[in-house]
Amino acid sequence: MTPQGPGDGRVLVVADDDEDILTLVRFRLEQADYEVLTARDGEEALRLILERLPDLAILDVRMPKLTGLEVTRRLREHGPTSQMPVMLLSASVQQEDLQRGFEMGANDYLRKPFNAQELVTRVEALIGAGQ
Amino acid sequence: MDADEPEVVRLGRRLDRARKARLEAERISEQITGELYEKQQELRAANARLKQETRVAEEAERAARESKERLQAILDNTRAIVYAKDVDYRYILVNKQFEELFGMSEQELVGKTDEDLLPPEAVEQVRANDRRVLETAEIVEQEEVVPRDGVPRTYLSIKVPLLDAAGTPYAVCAISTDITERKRAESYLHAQHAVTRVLAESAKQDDVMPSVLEALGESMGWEVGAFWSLDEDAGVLRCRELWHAPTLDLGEFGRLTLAVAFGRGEGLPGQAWESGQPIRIEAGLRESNLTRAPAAAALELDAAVALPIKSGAKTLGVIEFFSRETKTLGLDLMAMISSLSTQVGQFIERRQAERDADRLKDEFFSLVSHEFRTPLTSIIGFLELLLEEGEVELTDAERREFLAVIKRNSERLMRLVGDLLFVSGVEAGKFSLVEREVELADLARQSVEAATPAATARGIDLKLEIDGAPAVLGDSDRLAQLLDNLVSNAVKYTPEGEHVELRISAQPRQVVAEITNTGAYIPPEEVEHLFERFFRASTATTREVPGVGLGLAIARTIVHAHGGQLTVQSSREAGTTFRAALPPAAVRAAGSAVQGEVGT
Repeated sequence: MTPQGPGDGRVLVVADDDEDILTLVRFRLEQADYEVLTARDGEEALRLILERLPDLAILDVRMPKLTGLEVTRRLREHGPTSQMPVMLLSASVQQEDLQRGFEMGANDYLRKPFNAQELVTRVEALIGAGQ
Repeated sequence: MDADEPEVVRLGRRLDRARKARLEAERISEQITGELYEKQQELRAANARLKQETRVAEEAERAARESKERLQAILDNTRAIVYAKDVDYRYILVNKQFEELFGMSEQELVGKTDEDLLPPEAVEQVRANDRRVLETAEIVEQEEVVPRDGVPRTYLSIKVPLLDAAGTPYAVCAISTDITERKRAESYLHAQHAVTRVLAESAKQDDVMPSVLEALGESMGWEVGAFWSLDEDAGVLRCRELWHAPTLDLGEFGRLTLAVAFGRGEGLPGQAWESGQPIRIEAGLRESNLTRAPAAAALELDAAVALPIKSGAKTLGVIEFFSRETKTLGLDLMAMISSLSTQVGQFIERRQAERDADRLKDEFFSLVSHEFRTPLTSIIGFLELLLEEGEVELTDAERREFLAVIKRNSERLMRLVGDLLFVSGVEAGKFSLVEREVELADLARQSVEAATPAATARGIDLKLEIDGAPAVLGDSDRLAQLLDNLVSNAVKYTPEGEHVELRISAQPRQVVAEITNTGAYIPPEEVEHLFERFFRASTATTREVPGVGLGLAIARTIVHAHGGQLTVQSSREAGTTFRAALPPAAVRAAGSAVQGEVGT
């Protein structure tokens, strides 16, 4: 089947320690024709990203083993991934946390609970921009 | 004359003459005697008068002598220095104290002036006051600073003019009391008040040290003050605040102080830190072999004192002061500064605790926020999906799954809200327990059953053991919550493949519920904090186990409310065991009624 939607078969890595949220995000993005790979903690996420070099990484900030911020920082320090678009998901409302995310090198930040449409729109924007 | 005058007649005339002469003599004799007698009387009277006058004079003299002796006794027994000077400012009278002060007798002192006795600055002061008394004929009361054995002492002098009949001063009489100690005590009190006020007013201000240094330095008359803070990681003291009197330019000394870091025992601050006691240098700072001695010499700083600021046994920092003049750093001064530095130490600790509390609050809000938003994300997200039925193709299986997710997350939210309300309800003293006979064994079975799916999913072996379980008097819902709490905690924190066991047993006068999980270790330092609200053990945070840290606080509240004890033991080999010991119904009924507990 040839991918038709905006995703066009591009690859995303989504990492979140909450199983249900992972399911939700994957469902939505697969709907938009992205290929979604999932990870449940920061270490798994990093490994997966380095292995598959996706078009976008969507990372929950609060994760076991390595936080989303840590993963972002390492990606930025590593040549092949230093420019990779990164979106952080967070349940935090603090301005400082937002700031830290950008300082680490994230490109965008989505607050939970999020609107599904917004998620997809932002993903498109990030991948489009990266192109 | 007749020759024939008979002899008789001649004799008769001679007799007559003799008789007349004798009468005359007698008369004269009487007269003389009379006069003599009068004279004698007069003499006696004069004698008596003389004696009288002599007695009076002697009386007066004795009285005068007594009076003088009394006066002298007063003059000599007062601790004040009493003296009088004439209009040329020469001493005309001094008391014993004065003699002792100058090491000279009154005879030696009479006639001397202050130029002979005192250094020029002191003379100037004293002379000015004397002059004022003599010129204005008024009483002058002034403080005068006069050196004694090289140390300046402060005297309160009351100077009074002595006036002649015309009302003109002919001498100045003075009583001077040494108030050096009193002034010192006053300055200590002043310093204490100054610092206390600084600390009180700085309740919201982060950094009090500059104000403290200034307050202390100014009240005690020191020229330079420094606060060193202990950098625990590096194990050195670093100067964080430097104060100086406005008249001084710190120069090299200031630069050095700010640049150098002292380890334990190094430099003045390091010595204070190591010994835990104040270090005093009353004089001769510049000659010492301390690092900053040369720079101190350039500023003419001669005396120094360094005090550790402690909270309990822990040293937080050191404050030090420097002065140009020699200081008597007596025990009372040191005691005062020590108590002040303890106050400052406590203040710093309290401020730190406030900061920690603020941080905890922030962390709590962050945690709660996360714990609410996470399930909400799923609830809202999947509801959106279900409501888009038209645009999205969902299989029956998917629909069912999504609904289950929504339900599951809703329940999770409900539990969170329940926990939070429970905790705040306890705060307000608003919860009450139902009292009935409860079979812990039943509740235990239910808890284990509820926790089994989660346990199985993580390969954890969950077991229940009942070893006799007499009834307990209490609230069945709360006790169920207690067991659920402890069991699900155990399952959450146990690594995969390990074991969790819930054991109910009957002990003498106790019903005990023990939850043991292997493979999970809580270090001793954390054990004491485990039951605090919002506390999360390091194992929880590193592995990001979800939760806000209320579970154990709630568990303990419930146990206490039932008249029981909740304890924990943890070791690397055996794992962790939480032990709730409750009084059985029989014992409980005999005791007092159950009360809701406020704020464990």
